[in-house]
Amino acid sequence: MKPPGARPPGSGTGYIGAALPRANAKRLIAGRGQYVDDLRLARMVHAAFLRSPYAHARIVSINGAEAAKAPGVVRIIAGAEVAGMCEPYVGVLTHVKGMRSAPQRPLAV
Amino acid sequence: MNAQPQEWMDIQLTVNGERVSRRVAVRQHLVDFLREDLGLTGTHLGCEHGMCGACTVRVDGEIVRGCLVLAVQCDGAAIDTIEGVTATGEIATLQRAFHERNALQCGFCTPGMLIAAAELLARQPQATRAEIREHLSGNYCRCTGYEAIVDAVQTAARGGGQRV
Repeated sequence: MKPPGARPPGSGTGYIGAALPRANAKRLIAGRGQYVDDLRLARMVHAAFLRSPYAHARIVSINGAEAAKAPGVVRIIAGAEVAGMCEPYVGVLTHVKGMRSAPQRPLAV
Repeated sequence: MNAQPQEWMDIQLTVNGERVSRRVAVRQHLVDFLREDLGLTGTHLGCEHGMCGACTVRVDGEIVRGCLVLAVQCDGAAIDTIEGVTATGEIATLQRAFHERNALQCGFCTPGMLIAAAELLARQPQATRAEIREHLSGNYCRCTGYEAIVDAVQTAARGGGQRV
């Protein structure tokens, strides 16, 4: 069913409703796309994030000593250490003057 | 019975027509074996618990979730992945229909969609729209929905014949 006055797909200058084949889709169809998970870099390691089970709580302490002993673990990094490596970002809306988020860090401190 | 559980096992299988012998961790999924050990990254890992269908591959002619099958279970089996069925031209009609209808955006779900759709069309070359929807109901697309995908499979079904 078409709403009254709708153009048939692909007519005139309208792209709406028309199939528009993309040249770069061919490699995706052939399984030759490359996604982040497909990257293999020399000496690459993986990060696993352990989140708090509490939505809103105060962190009293974090003890990664046992986890650090597990085979293959390179390093345990908690929020306070990340805060020293990475500036928090502040979200702003340019069209809403004065609207700013609180500083947001990659991991809770 | 061994006191210690066995951690590694030697397997031999055929992947895309080539004989492969590897020692694998017994806990490794088929999809991780294909992607990490063989470098066949066309098969994708989406949800890792059998819901999304991105890891769909063929084992001895039947489609499976690559994340719900262990590599060791495929000892002696013949596996076909998107790379293999692309190289043989087996699904060329289906791939052309996906391209012409632009039935993909990011393409992450597409290899799984194609492998699943190819199985349906091999069994039912004249599959109806309802049958296509039912058969693809275990393959998720998070970009844009299913209309164009179903259109493309239907076009390939009408194109018919053994070579889907």
